[in-house]
Amino acid sequence: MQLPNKTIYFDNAATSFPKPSMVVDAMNNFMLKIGANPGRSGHQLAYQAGDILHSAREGVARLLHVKNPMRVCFTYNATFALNQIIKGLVKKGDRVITSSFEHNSTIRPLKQLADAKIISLTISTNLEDDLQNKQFDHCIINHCSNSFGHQVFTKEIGQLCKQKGVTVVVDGAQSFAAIPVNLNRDGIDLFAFSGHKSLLGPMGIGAIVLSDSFDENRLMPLIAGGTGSRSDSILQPERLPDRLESGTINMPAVAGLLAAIHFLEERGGVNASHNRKKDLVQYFFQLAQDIPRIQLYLSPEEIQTGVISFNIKGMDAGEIAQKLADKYQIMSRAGLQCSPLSHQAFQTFPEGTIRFSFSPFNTEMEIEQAIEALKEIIND
Amino acid sequence: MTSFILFFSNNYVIWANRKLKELNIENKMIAVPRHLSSSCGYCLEIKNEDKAVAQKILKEFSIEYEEIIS
Repeated sequence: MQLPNKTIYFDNAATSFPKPSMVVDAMNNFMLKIGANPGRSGHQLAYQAGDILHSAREGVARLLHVKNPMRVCFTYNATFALNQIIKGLVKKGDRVITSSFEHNSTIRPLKQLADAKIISLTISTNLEDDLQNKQFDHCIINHCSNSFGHQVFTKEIGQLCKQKGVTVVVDGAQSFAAIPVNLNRDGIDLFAFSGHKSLLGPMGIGAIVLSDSFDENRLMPLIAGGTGSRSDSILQPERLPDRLESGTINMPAVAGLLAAIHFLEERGGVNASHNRKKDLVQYFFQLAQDIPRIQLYLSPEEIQTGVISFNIKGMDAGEIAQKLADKYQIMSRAGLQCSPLSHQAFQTFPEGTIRFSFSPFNTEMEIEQAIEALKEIIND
Repeated sequence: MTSFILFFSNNYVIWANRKLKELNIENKMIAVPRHLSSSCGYCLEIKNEDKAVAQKILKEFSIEYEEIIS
């Protein structure tokens, strides 16, 4: 998909761009032809809106292999979902373990709770060992690193947590629609994601997804309000999804998210998208061998989500990213990517890295152009 | 003669509507009659003779409902 002014967009971990035209069309169609608030009124437009909403729940449930679509509760984004999960789940005195690769959307709310002495927090550098040898109530963890692209939470960790009775919360912002995820198989109790990254959906929509077996009564709603249900009561509904969905949902974004799910499924699903990005990463690594002083931090086999962090020794990452954008119209992200912990773990803190993050729309030719651009910048 | 299936949440109405249709149980989404419930949104209208099989289907697929009123 050719962007205007020959832009090469390698910042898909921040948000995917461009979006498939059917996503945009679905959002426009909703705003121009449907427009209603689902679940409130009893007219045809409300039914149509409700129909889209239900289909979107079913689509998400299908992607995550959850049987009951009511376990999908829409939010604005993964950050909101994680805050709701974390702050709605933990009780005073709970022991939480997390990884040393967390995004700020997880570590900041955890740090808030730890500093307020509500929880004790372990930032682990060896999850399996710590889970085996110590006691925890919750494992709240990144699925895949937004900075380095590797998988952090694995189903082996999930199984270990199950054996130990540890609740598993996974930040799926980078993994949803990027790698195959099965909440039940992988031992995930609560999963948070945003629709605007690998799914190629719009901004402004995300979800909390509860596994079929997780007791929703353990998750206290942070937000209470109108749900269109039990209007005769001033009590927040207990049943999902209403329990966690107060207020008007971003329906244009839900329509876009549903279209994005269809787009993905019509093109071979998550596996096809995943494999395409693996091929692009492999190609980058192949060509990157010719770049003098390039510093790569993982092997292409370790990278799961089309994300590559690198540096050029002796050069400032920010300056390189700026030149890539200004002179070559190559969009990337330099710095810590809201994950200081990851960079501390990879010893790239505080300078950070240049991050290229691909979507299935990127091409081998774009990678060749980027490699040539990097060589020119280094030689200047 | 018809019965009305009332739900705790409108989110379940569409699910039930689709599932029942899929299994050939005729049903219609209508605005909740105010004398039946003060909840917002809609309920399902079904034939009286389909009440038992509708209950069975909803139970089998874990589609929660509040009550069926004849």
